[in-house]
Amino acid sequence: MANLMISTLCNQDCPYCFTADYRNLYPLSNRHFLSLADVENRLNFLMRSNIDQARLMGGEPTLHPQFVELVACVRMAGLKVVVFSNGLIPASVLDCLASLPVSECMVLINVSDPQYIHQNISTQQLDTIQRLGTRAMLGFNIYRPDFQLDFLLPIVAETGCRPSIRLGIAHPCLSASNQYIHPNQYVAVGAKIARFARLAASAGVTIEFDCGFVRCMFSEPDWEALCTLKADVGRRCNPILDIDIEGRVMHCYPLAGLGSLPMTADSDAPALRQAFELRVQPYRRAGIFPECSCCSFKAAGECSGGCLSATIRRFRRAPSASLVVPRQGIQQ
Amino acid sequence: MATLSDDKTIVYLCAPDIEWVRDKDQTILVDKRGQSWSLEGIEAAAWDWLVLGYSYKDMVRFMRVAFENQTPDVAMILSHWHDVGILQAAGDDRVG
Repeated sequence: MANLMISTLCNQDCPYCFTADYRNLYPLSNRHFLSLADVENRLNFLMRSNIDQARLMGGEPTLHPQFVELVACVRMAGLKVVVFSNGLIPASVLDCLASLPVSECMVLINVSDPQYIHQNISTQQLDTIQRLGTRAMLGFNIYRPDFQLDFLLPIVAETGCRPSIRLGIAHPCLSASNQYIHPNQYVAVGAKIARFARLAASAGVTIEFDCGFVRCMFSEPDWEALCTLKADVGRRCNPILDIDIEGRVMHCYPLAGLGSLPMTADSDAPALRQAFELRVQPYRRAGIFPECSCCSFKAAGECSGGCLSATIRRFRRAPSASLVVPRQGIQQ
Repeated sequence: MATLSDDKTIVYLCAPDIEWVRDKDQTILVDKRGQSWSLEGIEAAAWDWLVLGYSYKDMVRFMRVAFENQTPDVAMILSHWHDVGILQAAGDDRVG
């Protein structure tokens, strides 16, 4: 997979936004949108990487003024359309997405926790989800330990969207300038997720997981319950590849601080992933907890040790001070 | 500022870009060239004292107290770290 940024602009200001470091490193220029000329380059990249879907993101991707034309290019290339949106979608874009075959289009609509934005999910978002039907899937990013999820189930029931909810944990950017869940809070978060998964299952709704979850955040009974519910807990952490409008390829937005690689005319996703993996490989010995490096789940490949950005944040720079040692001591 | 090693002393510095983390059973060191090291037991203790800024003399004294029966040789540990690239000696070509 690889995500294509097509808009640097967003019409929301989520406190957990993973692009915080990216925006600091690469301040906005006058160019806010991927040009249609560059779309062809991106699609060629996806096709030579054997990727069958164009995952469009931003900012808010649907703010792209030529979104409809862009989607036409994607469809012409024979790729599925996946959109990561906040649901505040312009009418013309909504018409376009709603006209696509259900099997060829998925719009992940991230909604916010109503208790912190002091408003319920907006009428526009509800209308959008309803209009998209099973093309739409709800997403929710957990960035505070006192989150609530129950409000999502009535939305699924009332709008007729896909009976599945994608949960993400907000991870820190390397600078930690965004809001995120600290690993020390994972166990409490895991218990709430497991409770919700059972509730959702009773309503016929399944739970999907984004990256960076860890096995030990769930108690044994909760883990067994999640397995019974066939929940695919996202214990992975690998270079998804986020590609910005300038053609810079990043491991992922939280790790934008590690630098980027250029998308060249012949580069493909596997080669870029391998280059990023080489760069981060030493850090993979550790994990988000001090116990990760000796954890049997991690050793067996059943857990990645959590988000690499959170892991790297645990590392400290070695001191620059010198140590004077008598040569006599060494020769002994 | 580090002084250069001379006939009687050798001055060690951490290699550039070394980062480290203390885990449950080990201390992990990494650098930007993709190398990593795992320090356990006596070596992990020595590393802790090194990053806390203690002198060689203090490290030797602490080792004698903490590892009474093993009498670890701090100088040999440091020399080994120099050999594997964790430390550099002032005056080494590599020190930059």
